[in-house]
Amino acid sequence: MIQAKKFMESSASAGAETLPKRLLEQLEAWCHGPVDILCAAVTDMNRLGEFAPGYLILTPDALITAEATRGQYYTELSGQSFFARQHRRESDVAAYAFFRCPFEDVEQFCVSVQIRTCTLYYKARRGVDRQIAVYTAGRYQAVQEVIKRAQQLMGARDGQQAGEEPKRAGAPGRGADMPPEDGAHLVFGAGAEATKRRSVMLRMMSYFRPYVLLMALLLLTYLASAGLNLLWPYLNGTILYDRILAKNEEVLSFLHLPAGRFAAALLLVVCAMVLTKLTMLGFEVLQGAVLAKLVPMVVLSIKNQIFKSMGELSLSFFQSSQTGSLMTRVLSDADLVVDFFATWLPNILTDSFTLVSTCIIMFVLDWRLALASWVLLPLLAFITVKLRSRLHTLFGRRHRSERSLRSKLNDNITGVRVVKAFGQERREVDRFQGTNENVRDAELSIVRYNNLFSALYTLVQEAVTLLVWAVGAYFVLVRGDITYGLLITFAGYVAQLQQPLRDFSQMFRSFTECINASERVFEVLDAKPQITEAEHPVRMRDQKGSVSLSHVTFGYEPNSPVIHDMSLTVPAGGTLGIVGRSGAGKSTLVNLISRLYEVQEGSIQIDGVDIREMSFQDLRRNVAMVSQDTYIFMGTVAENIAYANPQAGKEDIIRAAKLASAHDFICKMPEGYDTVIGASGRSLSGGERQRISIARAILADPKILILDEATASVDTETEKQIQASIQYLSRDRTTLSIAHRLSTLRDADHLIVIEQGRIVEEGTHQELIDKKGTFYLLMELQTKALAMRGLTDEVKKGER
Amino acid sequence: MGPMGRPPGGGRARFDRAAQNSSMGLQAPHQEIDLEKMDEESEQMLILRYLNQDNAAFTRTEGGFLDLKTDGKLYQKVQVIRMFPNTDKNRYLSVREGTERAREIGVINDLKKDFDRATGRAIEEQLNVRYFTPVITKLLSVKEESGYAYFVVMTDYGECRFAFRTNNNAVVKLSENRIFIQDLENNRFEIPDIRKLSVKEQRKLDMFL
Repeated sequence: MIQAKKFMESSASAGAETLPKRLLEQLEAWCHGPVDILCAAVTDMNRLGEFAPGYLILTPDALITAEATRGQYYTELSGQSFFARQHRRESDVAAYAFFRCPFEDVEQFCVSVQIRTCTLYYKARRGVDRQIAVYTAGRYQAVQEVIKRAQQLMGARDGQQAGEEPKRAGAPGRGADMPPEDGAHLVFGAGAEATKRRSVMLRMMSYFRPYVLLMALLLLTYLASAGLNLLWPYLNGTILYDRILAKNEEVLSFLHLPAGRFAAALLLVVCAMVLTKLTMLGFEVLQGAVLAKLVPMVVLSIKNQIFKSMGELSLSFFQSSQTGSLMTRVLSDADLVVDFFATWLPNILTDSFTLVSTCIIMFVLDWRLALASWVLLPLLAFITVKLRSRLHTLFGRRHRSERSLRSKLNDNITGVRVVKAFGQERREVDRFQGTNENVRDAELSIVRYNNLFSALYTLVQEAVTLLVWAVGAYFVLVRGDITYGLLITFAGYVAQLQQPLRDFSQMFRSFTECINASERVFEVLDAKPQITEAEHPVRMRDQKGSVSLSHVTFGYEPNSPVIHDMSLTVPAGGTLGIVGRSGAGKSTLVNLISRLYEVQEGSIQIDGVDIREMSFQDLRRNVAMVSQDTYIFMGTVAENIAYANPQAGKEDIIRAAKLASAHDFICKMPEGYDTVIGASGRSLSGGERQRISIARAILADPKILILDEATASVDTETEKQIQASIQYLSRDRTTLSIAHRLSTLRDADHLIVIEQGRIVEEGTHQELIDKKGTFYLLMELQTKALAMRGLTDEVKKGER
Repeated sequence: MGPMGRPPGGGRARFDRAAQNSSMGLQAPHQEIDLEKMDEESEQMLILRYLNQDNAAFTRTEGGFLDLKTDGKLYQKVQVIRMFPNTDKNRYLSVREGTERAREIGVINDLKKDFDRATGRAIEEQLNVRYFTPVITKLLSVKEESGYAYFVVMTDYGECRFAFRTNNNAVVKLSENRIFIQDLENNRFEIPDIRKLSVKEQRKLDMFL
């Protein structure tokens, strides 16, 4: 009991979710006593393959599973950050079924990974192997950690080493090297990241904080013009008609004018009216000026921040789908958000002010007329709610169809080469027409609805005005208890009500749009880079460049590893050739070494230091990659070569280009090293790009060089040149080289052959050939294929 | 990788014959495709060789070409190329053979420092012709019509007229105030400092920046 309590407290203080109280009670009852919980993981299915919350609970001598059997519960497979923001409906599990697997029965815990789910089972020492838990991919990581600790416990128990290899389950990784944490911790899936519950609106407002004075000024001008607006009907109705035109003497004494001088009074009032209008105009100009100043500044700061945090995100974020759309969306979202705050929000405030104060004034002036003007308001609200919502969906439809039209166009322009090559212009036109018609239809229905809406809206408003006039005229003419000027004033106020009402009818949409846009912006701002620098990174001044991998496992999806438990060592200055079929995991392996992705289990070390402990700066400075997809930035050739080392002088750049065999083709361009390349610049061939990226690597002067198919896209002669450059480059450097053309790896000190993420053969070139294994087979195949290709080339030449 | 691409024996002879007709064959009609030579050439290409007054002698020929004597060899009609035509006019010049392959003979680090004035002038002359870029000193008239801009300008070489397409990146900003304009025939014009133009001229130019 005590331990369980301690566990709850410690995890509560850590901010993590705790095991439910009911579970602990039932567990203790089931075990007939207190349970010492080391750690636990949440699972989300039962063994029948149905959704049900469950727990894997690790105790010093057994692994206990709990499965919900009764009660109401729900399962979050993904989008935890979203649901966390919503009102959370807690699962209410009435009863759990427990199962205990004591370590003495277990030989090994294994995870079998199906397409969407994983099953945890154990190999029994005696008796049958047994499935103990089922869970979805999102829980894989958490379960894996619990199993890893279980495996360590079992290892310690058997007096053996912790690394009694469970099948993919618990290779001793970083966790094994670290001292056991004191207290227990509950491990959740990676998706359950903590979310900031701070209101989106408030957070967005913080961007306006530096401009508080401007905002205040803006609000002030809005309120002032609203106030003047209120004054206007009074001036124009009551004062003008009832006081002056009705020749009311009071007004003269009020204005300190001699009796009978109504013309002068009229002049004064007209002057006052003109002045009011002018002041209002002045406020409007001021508003415009302030907005023009405020909006671009805030938009700029939001966009800057988006770009900055995008740069910090890991590679996997950008490779997830729809990043491109995210970029543009986020950028236009910034506009949308600022638009709401700078124009709509002040509008809402002033509108409510106008609305309330106008209503009060109307009521005070004459409550009967006020009631008459309000009687149709519910109808207006009804029309708004009914038609507007329909309009919103239509707007959404137009937006979507326009977007698909745009992407269709974009697709066609970028893919024009393929379209033309296959002569599909006609069909593309047809396809475009289809999309285009969708846009037209959407537009037409919007116009139709908008017209209907405006007509009805105006009709009701006109009806209100007419009603007020009718009732007012009746009071003026028949009952005589209100004056003509008051009626004019009243009509003015009724007109005054219309703008706020119209605004309100659109406000809700703008509000939801703003919230959605803000959320998308924060989605990017809050996305946490999966790969972060260690808090106190190890600085390494002089690296030698030895690389070693120990039991590395990695997969792009948590439950389908691409690299399985791989270990290898490359001494400083050595050359490792990596061979394998496409998709064997070669590129993944080198991406892990440069820490573009993070290993899931095991560790990678450079000069004996875990790369996760290393500072980014040292890591990136010492590991350079020349890969099959070279990226050329917008800029001059010289800037592109000096990308990794902007301080490099022109001479260094030329030397690097020379070593990369890039100098000659660069000199042949009219503008030499000053030629602008990359998007919108001169386009380079594959081989040229490759050589520029080699020059980039040479200038970076790394201790570890990774060549990922560096000569894949060049002809034989160019390859010869690049090979020479690479040979120069790999002197005194640790080189990891991936190549499809096996002959290029002849000089490697050591070769490994990878198949499905595992090393299947290793040795020197000659050893592997003598072994007559996979490498030999690949080699044979390639020689034959190349010979064939050579022959067909000959035939073609002969024909010419 | 060379040998993998071709079968041995008879295939090679055919390849050689084909090669003779190609551009490679032009410079050395009886040259065999020799892998060792290729290796050697590749090695050669990695070397950066500087030329200066002590190891190289340029002479201006009667025909208006430049000959270069260096390393005991005479190279005729050499080409001089600016590696950084926009950012460093007189430094890092690549001196190349007059042949089609235009192999690099050497590099001049700094024309003003490494050679005497006469040689410097002779080389500069060549460069000025090669990199002919009139400097626009005055915008006389600027008109835009259906996607084309028509300029009448005064340059340091006299008045001229040219046109360019407005949506084709024809006007390149090299720095805040320095721009290049490339016309429809790929002629280059430079405005070294747009601030030196009158306000009116700047406003005319603004449309294309």
